[in-house]
Amino acid sequence: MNFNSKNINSTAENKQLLNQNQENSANNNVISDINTSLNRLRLFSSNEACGGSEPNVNRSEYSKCDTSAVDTNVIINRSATDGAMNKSNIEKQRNSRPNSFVKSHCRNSSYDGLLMHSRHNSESCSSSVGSTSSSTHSRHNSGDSGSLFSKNIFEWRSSSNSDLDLSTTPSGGVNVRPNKSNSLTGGGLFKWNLFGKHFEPPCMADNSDGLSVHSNTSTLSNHSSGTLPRDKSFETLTVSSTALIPHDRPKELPAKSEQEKLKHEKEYLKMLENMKKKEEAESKLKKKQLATQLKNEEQQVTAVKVWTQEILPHWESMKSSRKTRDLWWKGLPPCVRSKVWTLAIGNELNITRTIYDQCMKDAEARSQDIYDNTITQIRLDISRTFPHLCLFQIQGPYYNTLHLMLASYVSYNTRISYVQGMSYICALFILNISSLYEAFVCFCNFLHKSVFHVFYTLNIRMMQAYYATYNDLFKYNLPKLHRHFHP
Amino acid sequence: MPLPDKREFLYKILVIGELGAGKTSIIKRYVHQFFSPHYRATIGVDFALKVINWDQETIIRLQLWDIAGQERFGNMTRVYYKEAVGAFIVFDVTRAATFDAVLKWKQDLDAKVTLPDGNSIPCVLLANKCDQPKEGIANNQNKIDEFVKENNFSGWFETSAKDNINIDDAAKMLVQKILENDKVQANGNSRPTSEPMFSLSKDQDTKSRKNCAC
Repeated sequence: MNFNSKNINSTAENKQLLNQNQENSANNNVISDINTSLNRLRLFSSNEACGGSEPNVNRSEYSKCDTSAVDTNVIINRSATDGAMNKSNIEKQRNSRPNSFVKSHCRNSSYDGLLMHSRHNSESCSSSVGSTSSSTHSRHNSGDSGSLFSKNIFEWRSSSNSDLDLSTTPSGGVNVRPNKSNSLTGGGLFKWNLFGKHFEPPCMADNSDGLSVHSNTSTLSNHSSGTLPRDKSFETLTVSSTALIPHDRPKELPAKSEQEKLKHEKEYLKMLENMKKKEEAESKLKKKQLATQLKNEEQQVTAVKVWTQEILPHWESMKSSRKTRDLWWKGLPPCVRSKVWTLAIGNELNITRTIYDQCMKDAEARSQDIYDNTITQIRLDISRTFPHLCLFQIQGPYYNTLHLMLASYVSYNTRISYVQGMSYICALFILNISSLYEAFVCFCNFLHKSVFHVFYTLNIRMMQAYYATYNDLFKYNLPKLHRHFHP
Repeated sequence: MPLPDKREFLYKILVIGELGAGKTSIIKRYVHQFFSPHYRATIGVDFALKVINWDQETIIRLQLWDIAGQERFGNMTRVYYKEAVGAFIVFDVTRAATFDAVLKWKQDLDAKVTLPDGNSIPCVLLANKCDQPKEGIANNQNKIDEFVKENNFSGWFETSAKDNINIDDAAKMLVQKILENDKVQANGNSRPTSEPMFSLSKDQDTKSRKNCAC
């Protein structure tokens, strides 16, 4: 990735975000304290607005980002103190892809300030050894060509780059210019002054503040895939952990010794190095995963083609062929599942629509009866069917459907009636088969022809046969374990 | 640090009762200190293991058998009950029908499993979901006391898996009974006299009083 200094266009929206942050929008040096008490990550950020029409304001202002007002926003800033002019340099991280989206979350936090999932950008650290950088990522709507922050790195460097213009909108944009006077080359050649405290830029990590960075790995994958849903309303920025500004102890405390300073500097660099390595490994893994995913998707596409064009039209002749079996074992693509299941299960019982309607009617009448024991049992089990899907809960989308379906089966087959566990099988049919009638047909026929029938009807002879077969298979496949159970 | 002379016991405990009475919830609460309204229905049987440091030299492992509540599985219960030394029968105070079935479960239990000396295994009755409005007999503590005495339960507790009420106490009581039985077995394998029976009812009385207070 490139880390050239780049102009950053700010949309009206972005500006709004920024302005919302800066309640006193006239003063444009805003220090937002991102109070991540959880991860103890402290970020000092500043945003300097000095667009053509806007005056430079030297005042530093401390403000807490209010995330409730807007989805999120982060103003990263850093103010330099050696002079009247506080300037910051914002670098935009350029993605190789034209439309890359970076997802970042900045949720409203329960504690005040901003909760940020900031991730450490390895590249940015490499480019900014000796300086601190923060990358800001925002998700944006691609259609909105002006809207930006697609992927930004706010970086403060010593170099006297050309001015960086953050704003393009005439109504007073946010303009960021590099600080020419600040030289961050060495470690601790100059100091930042925030809240009356001196901060030393990059040279050392303040260990007490911790470098616990919430690494947002998803961000990375989203960069590369670029397939994020484009959600304009969710304009967010992420700040890289490199925004951590290692700084000196507060004035009132004794200063660090040279030795300590050096030590911290070393530690900081080492941390950066480690982070970089970690990120590289992660990105490699992501790439690999993506490749596998793509491959799988391609396979699926081919499989769908084969199923719909070759197998399904000639079901009877194809159903027991080797090719079909092999393909089947790889898993049915969801779009053909309904069709294949219906065909594979068939309708030996000849359940017609009339029978189905009759059963449904019975079931509806019966389900009003709260004293009906079977119905009560069914009712108790519905919400306990695939509970994590949250589809079968009371008032869930399939609560009534499953209830009716099982009650219909009770009417249809009074001998078996309802057996605990049926709800799972029935739920699978409801979820996968397009029409309810077909789902019911499949359900009834499936229970009729499968092993379930034997166990549901307590056909002892057949049950024993099943047990014997199971034992044989067990012995054949896991002889050692089998011996353990049958000494 | 386990001492070399530490005794360890493994006990198989059954948890039975009508469908949806909260057997799984009780076990999850007891073993994992956790409650969720979204358990799946138990099919067949589930297991859980609870380790109790009973005292300085005793570790007790309870193997809890969570048995499906539907009557359908009734003829499987003999397999499940094998070698159990204690049981909880759970009913749901919000549904009177689940209490009506308690006796059926108790009889099933006593018919299918006994201690080596022929006595029935200790069994504690749990009136679960006591955090919710009760229905029927669950409102009448004296009646339950009577019922418990008549049907040879070790005792009963109002429990709530949701609010973690009385579950530990109930388990403690059951383990106590099991240990007593073990002692009786160890002491020359004699048929238990009426002694433990007396202590049972005594214990039961105190427990009942506890229930009233809650």
